[in-house]
Amino acid sequence: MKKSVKIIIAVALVVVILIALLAGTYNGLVNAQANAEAAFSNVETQLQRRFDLVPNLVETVKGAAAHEQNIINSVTEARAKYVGAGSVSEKAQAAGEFSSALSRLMVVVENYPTITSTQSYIALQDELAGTENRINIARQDYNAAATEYNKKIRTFPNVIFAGMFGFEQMSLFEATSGAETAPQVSFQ
Amino acid sequence: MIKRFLQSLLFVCILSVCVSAEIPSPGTNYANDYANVLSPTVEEHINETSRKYSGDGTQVVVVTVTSLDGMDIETYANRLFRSWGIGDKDKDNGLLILLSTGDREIRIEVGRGLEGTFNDAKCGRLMDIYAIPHLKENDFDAGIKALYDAVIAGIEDPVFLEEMEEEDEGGIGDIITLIVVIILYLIVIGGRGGRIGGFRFYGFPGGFGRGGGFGGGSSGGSFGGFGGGSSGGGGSSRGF
Repeated sequence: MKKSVKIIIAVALVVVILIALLAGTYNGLVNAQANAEAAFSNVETQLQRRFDLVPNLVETVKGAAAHEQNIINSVTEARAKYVGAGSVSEKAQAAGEFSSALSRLMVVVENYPTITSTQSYIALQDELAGTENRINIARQDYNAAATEYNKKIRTFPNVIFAGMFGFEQMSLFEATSGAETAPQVSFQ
Repeated sequence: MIKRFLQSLLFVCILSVCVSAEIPSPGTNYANDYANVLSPTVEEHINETSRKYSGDGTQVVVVTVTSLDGMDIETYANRLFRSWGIGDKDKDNGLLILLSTGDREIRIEVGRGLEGTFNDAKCGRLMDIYAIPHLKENDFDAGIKALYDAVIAGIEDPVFLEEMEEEDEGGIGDIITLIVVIILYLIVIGGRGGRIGGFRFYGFPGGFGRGGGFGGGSSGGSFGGFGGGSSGGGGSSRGF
């Protein structure tokens, strides 16, 4: 009788400790995951901001350089591709393609002083360059948060619970070869 | 798995290398003239004025350096902004004017809380109008002062920035210029036939002069340190 009570108490104690440990780790993992997800949504916000500037740009270019239709199309196509992208790496890929299409367009536009000399184009360029910069920073922030989270789910004892509760690795948002070359903005 | 591990290891290495690049440690006031190009008067003006506007955590900071240590100015500005913590921690209402004399580049970096007032285009425009003409002449003191005063005018009254946008955007500015030219022409030509009295030219609208009037006595209080604000990379850069 007494012995079994002791055993029950011991087991209960172990269970309580385990639960406390579990809760602590679980919450830590959830926090890290939430941070990384928040950082990723910031990346997406900034990418969206860049997409939103495109119609403006296209309108400006169309007016003065209608025959550059090919390059304008490649920008709008790359934008459509991003919308269809699912995973982080697909999105990174599509965003990179969009970046390079955009920078090609910007280079072409440089040949049209009638466009580039206008105040509205300079303003648009500032917005694009600023957005590009925000994307870079948001991407770095996300990668740092995702790395932090990935590290967490692989260390002991988290690694046990991470497996149990299905915490999966988050992939980093790598700059593709295209995305590194932000649209060049040159001022005399 | 091992590849993954090595990748993340590499990433961490890259991160730590980047962080260890030379960013000055947090300054002790709003004007931080590491390039030694500002006059004591302008420095004092910046320190006094920024202190005056720091009531709600807004921090307007000026930093001049001789070199960006090989970084682009966007990266440098953002790292400095974050490591110093310019602006209020929750409002992120800091603004950094960063000038590198060696790289001949200038940037306005804006905390998220001020992005609504100082969007990228306006930052670019501010530099184009107020700073670049002076900077091109190597008059860094005057360029920074003019830009700083314009930024303060924008913080005091965002309408200032709207009017600045319209300045030479066709529209009102041009029409008024035209009218002024016609009036001056009439005065000069018509001057022979008798004086046209009563005309007084008050200057162009848009409030170029509004930066003035901050010279008020130095009411006590010292620099209370930075507020821990952050920036998401808003703002604009110019070479000159």
